[in-house]
Amino acid sequence: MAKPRYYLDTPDEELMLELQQGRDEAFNEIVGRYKDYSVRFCYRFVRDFELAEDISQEGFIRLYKFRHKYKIKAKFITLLSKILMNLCLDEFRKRKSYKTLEIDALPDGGIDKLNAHSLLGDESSPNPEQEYIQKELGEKIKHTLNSLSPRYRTVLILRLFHGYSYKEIAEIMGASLNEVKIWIHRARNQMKDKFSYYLKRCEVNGRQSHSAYSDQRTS
Amino acid sequence: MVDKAIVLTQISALLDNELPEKEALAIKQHLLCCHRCRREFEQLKNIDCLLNEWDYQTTKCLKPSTSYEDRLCVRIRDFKKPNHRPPS
Repeated sequence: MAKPRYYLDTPDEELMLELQQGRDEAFNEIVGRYKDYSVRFCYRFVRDFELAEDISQEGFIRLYKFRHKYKIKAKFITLLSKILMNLCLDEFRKRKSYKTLEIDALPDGGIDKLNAHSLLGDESSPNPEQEYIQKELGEKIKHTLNSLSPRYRTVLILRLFHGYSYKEIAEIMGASLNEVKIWIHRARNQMKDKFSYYLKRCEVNGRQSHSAYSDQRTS
Repeated sequence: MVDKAIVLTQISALLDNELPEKEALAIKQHLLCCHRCRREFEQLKNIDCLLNEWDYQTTKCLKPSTSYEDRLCVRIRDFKKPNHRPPS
């Protein structure tokens, strides 16, 4: 039988105030609401499921540990995102070496093989060779993101994958709006420079841009 | 007439709908007649699509494990114990 949720309609910020009063059920409600978000958030940084779960749990523990210091200054999700982001960045600092693949090294067969648009997410074509290239491209994307500075990687993740506005990103990162704008611009340009073959292919194919997502904020 | 150097620095913000309306309009008008800047815009847009496609495919089925909340409960319980020392 499912546990009753006493705080089902209580806003997040009020849940934290309830937690301050010693009501642990409020904390359980917070975890229930945000465990999916926090695991997904951390995964987008570390790209390791077990580690993402571990860090996200650490984030909740921090919330619990410092509950007495909580004040309603911003949206709860901003606070949670900030905690998780800092934990993920701490994790990156622990890892000293980043392996950057030779992004412009093409698979056997040259540029014709690198048709990322049709390969990424093309579940109707389970061709083993395409699956291999799909996996390779995914690994290259992952490593290229990892090769960016933590600051540039963070703004890209928050903007592209989570759909946060520049203002929200600035709040989460404790930066100015102008800084966020410059970092995103530079991060995109660094990614662009490292995927020149893919971009040439897009131009050759006259690729129409599309997106598989409608609203990143729901993820 | 918008300065090309300015356009190139604003393209990301245009992509993200973060420019004021007047500024966005000026940039868009520039893109209509400048091949180089339009190409830059399309390239950044394609990079966005590549990354978003990859992120969607790699996270669409992502969910916390069934034991997630139980394990968190244990960690919170351990944390509450007197003389708790976090693991090194």
